[in-house]
Amino acid sequence: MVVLEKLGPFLTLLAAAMAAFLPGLGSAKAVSRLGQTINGVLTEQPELFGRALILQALPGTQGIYGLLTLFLILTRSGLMELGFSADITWYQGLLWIAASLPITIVGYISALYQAKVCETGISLIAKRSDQHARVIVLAVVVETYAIFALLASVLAIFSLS
Amino acid sequence: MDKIKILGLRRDKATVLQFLQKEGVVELIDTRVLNSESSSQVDETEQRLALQKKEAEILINQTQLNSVIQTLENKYANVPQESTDKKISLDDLLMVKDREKEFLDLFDLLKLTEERKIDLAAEREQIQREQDILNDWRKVEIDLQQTSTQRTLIFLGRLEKSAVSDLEQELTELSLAETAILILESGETFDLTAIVALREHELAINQLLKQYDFNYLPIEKSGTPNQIYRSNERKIKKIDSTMIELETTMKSIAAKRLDFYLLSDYYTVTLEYYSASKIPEDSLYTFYLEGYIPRKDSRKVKQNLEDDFTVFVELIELGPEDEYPILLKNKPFAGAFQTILEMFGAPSTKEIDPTPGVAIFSFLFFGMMLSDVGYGLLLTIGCAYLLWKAKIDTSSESGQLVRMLFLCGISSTLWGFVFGGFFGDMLTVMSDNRITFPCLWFNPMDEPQKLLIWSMIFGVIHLFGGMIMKIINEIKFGKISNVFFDVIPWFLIIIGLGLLLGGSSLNISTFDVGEVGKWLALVGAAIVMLFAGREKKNIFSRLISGIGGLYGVVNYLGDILSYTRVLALVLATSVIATVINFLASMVSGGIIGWFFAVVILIGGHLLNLALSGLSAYVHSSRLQYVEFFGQFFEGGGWFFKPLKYKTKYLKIKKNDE
Repeated sequence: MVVLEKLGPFLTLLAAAMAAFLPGLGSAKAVSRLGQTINGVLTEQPELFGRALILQALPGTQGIYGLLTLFLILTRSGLMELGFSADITWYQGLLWIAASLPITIVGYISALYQAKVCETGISLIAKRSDQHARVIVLAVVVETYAIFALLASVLAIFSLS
Repeated sequence: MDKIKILGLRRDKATVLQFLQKEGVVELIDTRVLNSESSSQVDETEQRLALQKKEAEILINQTQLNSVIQTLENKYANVPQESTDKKISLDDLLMVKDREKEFLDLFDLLKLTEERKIDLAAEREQIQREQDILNDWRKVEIDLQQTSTQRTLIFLGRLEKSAVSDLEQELTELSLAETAILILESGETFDLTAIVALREHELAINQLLKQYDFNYLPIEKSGTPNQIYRSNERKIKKIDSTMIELETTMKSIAAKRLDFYLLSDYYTVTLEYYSASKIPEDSLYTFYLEGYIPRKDSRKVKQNLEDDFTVFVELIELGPEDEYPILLKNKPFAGAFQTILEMFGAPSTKEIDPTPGVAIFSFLFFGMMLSDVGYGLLLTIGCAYLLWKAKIDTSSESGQLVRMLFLCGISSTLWGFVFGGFFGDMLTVMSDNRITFPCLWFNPMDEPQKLLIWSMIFGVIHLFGGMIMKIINEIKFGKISNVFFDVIPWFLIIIGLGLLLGGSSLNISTFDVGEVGKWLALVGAAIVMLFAGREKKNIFSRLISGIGGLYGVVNYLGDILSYTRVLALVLATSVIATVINFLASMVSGGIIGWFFAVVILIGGHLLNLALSGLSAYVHSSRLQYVEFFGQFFEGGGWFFKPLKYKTKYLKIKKNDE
């Protein structure tokens, strides 16, 4: 059981890393797919670049939320200050993992779903560029759930420390 | 809003329409569809066709013109313009009609120059390719046109060095020994060769050469390679000097790009006029048109029309039960947030203009979500610069946005003081914990639960605002009973539940707050249950509707929880700022360290401002659209779009300028 007892910092770091990499992965996928769509639109209408760029950036926020969760877990668990000597038990580590789950999972998936809304939104503004603002709002309705997931994780992190 | 009906002589139609376009206060009603059966008084197909032809012509010209303008703006943006005055008088704009020929000549010259430039560039490339090949052959003294004699053929080309002996061998094997391989010039990996063969062997030799990757010299001109090379060089030089000339022409045209703006805007205005001139109903001698006009302008326009033209004008005052376009009228503060409503859609003519409510709460929530003194000041100063120094047009879409962001920046600064944020915790980190930026209320990073509660309380206030709007609307509609049965009970339920759950923290000892809350909620619920289905006759289906009405509590719960996003966004802004400060503090120290620290701070905080500002804007808008408007907004109207001089590139001076 000696090994298990020393797993605390590892599990905590795992919690933080998951929160950073899965939403980041989702955002990267989403942003890349949007970028491809936008490239297609730009061949015909290069003047849409600015508007399209904002739409491309929208599903990028999940990655930021993940990064933010990583930072909170690292600071709140003491891992950032103490490093190897951080005194975290293994079941505390598991609690950190549980806390990071909402943003880890919802962040990843919502980025992909938001990208779909943005993608159709881009074909909309290609035809009617004045509808740009509405497309953003529609995409943001999806992001709401990433924000709630972030909130859930953040509240869990704050209640653990 | 009034309805205006104009009946006039047909010969005055154009001038009347021009007058209306100049005034810019009348939205024409397309009456053609409404009574299409009676519109065949006059056969005007020919006239219509001529108009359509002219319209199409202008459209084509304008499309070309706009793409040319785009090119000019991209490639020749640095060329100083002859005149930079982007404000013109209306007369100047209309004078374009007389100068159209001059502008079009300039336009043609531009197109011609562009085309010649493209042709010359292609030609130059072709010659350059020839030069690259000829460069190896320059020492060879053969006339390149000399490709045959009476009995022989000469093939000129490049051959791999290693292939020469193999080729010779194969030639003898195939009994083509009469063929001579002359090496004219020896390169590093290949030889320049002339292969002389008998005419009757042409086919066999060609096949063989293909096998050995013989690279034929593709140039057949008279003169030695060197001579051709020289003459090509002269040609390139000539092309280059022509290109420079063309470029100067382009620049001189680019300097006049204001003329293109003028022409394009003139076309826009003319097209608008054309589409308007199709609307009136024409009979043999008269025309008739209807339109909407704001009441404040109606009398003056009627007067002017009757003074200047032979027309009969009738004004009809429209009441709330009529349909007419919406023209919002707001004080400067609320007006700045009008763009949020415009994005959503127009309210109906019957209901209240929600802009003041939208303004107050957008101001509040945007500021709360960004809540940083540093970011707020940056935003305010940036927008102030655009508004007063760069003099952005505040009537344009982007101008309105800037005006709104200016106010939002102020709000963010104020909230920044409340929550104690200055570029996150920059002062604390950079001064090694010696200075802490003070907060007036509490720091959300330390007490997130407190902000969670408060964001929901602000949310409830927002929802109550929406419910008050609903009450005003119901009174306007004359349905007072709805106020008592559909709105007031929910006030009771929400306040009651709030007191029941959180009343103990109020520390009131004179009476039991929780008990009061319980009874308020119960009374409210009872009213909903009894009256939600009041349209139903059957007592049972009425009760079932009532219980269904109580389900609305779930909607309200969802709406209130939706406001917790405020906390999440506050934390997002400040945590990202903290990360940036943390990164900067890690590299700081020493000159190079501080240099990088400053770079990280500036780049990072600007990025965060952009990201968090965008989130704050869209999420505060969403709270308006879904939660606030959900309480009362009916919609279904359309915004007032008068016939006017609407330009894209230039701005028309008002009369007093």
